Amino acid sequence: MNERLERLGAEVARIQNEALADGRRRNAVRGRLRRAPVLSERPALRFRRPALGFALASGALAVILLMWPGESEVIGYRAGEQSVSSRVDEWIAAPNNQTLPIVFSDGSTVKLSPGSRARVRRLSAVGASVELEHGEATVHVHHGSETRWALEAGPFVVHVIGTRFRVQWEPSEEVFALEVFEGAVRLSGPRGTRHVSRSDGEVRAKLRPPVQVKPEPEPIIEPSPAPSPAVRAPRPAVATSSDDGVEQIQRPSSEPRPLSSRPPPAPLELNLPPKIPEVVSDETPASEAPALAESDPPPIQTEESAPVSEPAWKELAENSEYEEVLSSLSPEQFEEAVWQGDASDLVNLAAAARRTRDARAGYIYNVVRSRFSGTDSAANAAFMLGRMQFHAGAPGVAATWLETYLRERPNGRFAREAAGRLIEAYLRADDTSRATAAAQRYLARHPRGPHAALARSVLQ
Amino acid sequence: MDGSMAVSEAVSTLSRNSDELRDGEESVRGDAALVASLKSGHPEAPAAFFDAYGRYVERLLLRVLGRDHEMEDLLHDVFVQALANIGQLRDPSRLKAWLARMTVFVARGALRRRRRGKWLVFMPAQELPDQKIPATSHEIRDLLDRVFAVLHCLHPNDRIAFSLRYIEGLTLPEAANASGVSLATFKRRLKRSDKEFLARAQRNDHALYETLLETPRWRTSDE
Repeated sequence: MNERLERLGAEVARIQNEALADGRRRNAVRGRLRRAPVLSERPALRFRRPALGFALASGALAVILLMWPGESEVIGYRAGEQSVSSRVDEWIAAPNNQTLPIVFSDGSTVKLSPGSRARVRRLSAVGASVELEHGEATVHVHHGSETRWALEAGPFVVHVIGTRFRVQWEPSEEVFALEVFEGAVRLSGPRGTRHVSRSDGEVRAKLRPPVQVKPEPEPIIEPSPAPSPAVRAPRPAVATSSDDGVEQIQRPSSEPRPLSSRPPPAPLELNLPPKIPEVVSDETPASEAPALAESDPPPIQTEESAPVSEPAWKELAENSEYEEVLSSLSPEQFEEAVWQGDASDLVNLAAAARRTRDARAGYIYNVVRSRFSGTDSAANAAFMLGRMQFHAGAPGVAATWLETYLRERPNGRFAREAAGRLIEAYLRADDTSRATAAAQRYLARHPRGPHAALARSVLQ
Repeated sequence: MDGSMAVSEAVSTLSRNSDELRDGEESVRGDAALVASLKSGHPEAPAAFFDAYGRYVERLLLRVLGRDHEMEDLLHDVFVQALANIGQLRDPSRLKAWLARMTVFVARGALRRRRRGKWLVFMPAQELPDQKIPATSHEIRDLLDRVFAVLHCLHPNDRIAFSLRYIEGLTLPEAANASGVSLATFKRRLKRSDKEFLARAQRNDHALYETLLETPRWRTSDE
């Protein structure tokens, strides 16, 4: 990693050197030095009277101590019968036949309905933030003077102070429902923020994505100019909102190349391995799995059918030697790694490919999206693909990937970055109308973000 | 040539060579003359001193602190301190290294002062960009902001180690000398800064962390 830090440092230095070309600051200091006596005292920030300084500092310290709110500890939680935990970002799934209570040490509870899945995103001394991936949760937040609780479900965030409510979120249908039993909550969503109370009854919302992007089937980059039918539609599309629920964005007629509903194959990845094995994802019903061509490699081996000796890629992956995986394995072994490795392996493998400027990086990310659809890894892969396309000079494709990421993870860890890059991508694609819309969305969510100045300039 | 003429000539030569750091023997000779002129109190010596090393000091400050609203004051401070203490410099050939140490000392003082002042500051300090960076890409400017946002979380000593080694590109002995610590101590700090920088980037700024994997792209995107 030292080499990468050196590269980063060199890049920072290069940018800083541009600033050094401006000699105004030096001229100003030179003038000050000429005007001031050579041995002038440095304008130090020192107390001339140490006793006075000490007294002031003591007084300030006393005030701070008096106002200190006391020791505050981050709350913990217990999921079902498990022991108390303060871990975040670990998925908690309710069994299919019973509810699963998550009890927090501040007295709050989140009951997951059967089959639902959630995770605790943040914990603080005054509350927590829980993400409902799918299903239904009944929440009872213990009221306190400083309580700060939030429940995230897709692009919706329910901000709570103290109340009881039920949230339902079905990402496959992009349907959100909220029913407040006590008190009121503040609901933030793609269309703004509103207060919801018991008198509102059940509030339902159907997500309308900003662009027509159908997430499934996932785009698979063709290994050769002649696409093989086997790489298409590896599994049926996850149900999305119907056409009437999708907001169409018109592109100017003068635009040379309209954005497709899903990103076309990336130009970066044309020299891919010759064959892409067909894979049936976990969600795919066996009856709907497309038949494999005879020449295709066998599908993923299940645990039962896996060979006794571990494949070469696995040993390398366990030692985090991902660059070795790329350089030393045969195309067949590489394929095996890509189609048998877990999400973490693939993300690391793709990162290694990017480090070594291996064009297979995009291919790996596409496989991540294909195999681990709906997961954070898949969403992050969309962001990475967006970045890669952006740098490859395909801003239109990049924009589509970035939109995909933002739709799948509107509050994800790359959300701000993706939103900013989206503006740049649309600008580079000469799509002013979408750049404007992206800029508005960016400023609404990240008014002080690094792309805020760009966004404002677009709006002006 | 009498003493005063030699000093005048040195000052004149140095003035002509403003903004350029001289190398090798000529540099040593020039530094010796410059130090002599400074010690003798030649009226033009401070300006010549600044012309010779102002850019270098500014660069070091920029490396350690990033864009900083106090940059001009700190640059001034370094030279005021250097001029006030030039009498303690015994070996004029080490002028540049001595000045680097002085610069790091001033930068560390600024970092520590801010760190100490944190608990009394209830609002984030106003970080006004003092000079616009003429980079063309928002992405490029973003990189600077992100890197220094992470560095801001590091201990001043570790931050200085990181900046001198990776951004300024000093060798380990040079960086250790500029930091005023032994080579072993500097290595420890650098190792700690590596670890902390990466951990914080991974934890707080995934985009920067990912950027670390593909730094050259920042360059290619701009070119």
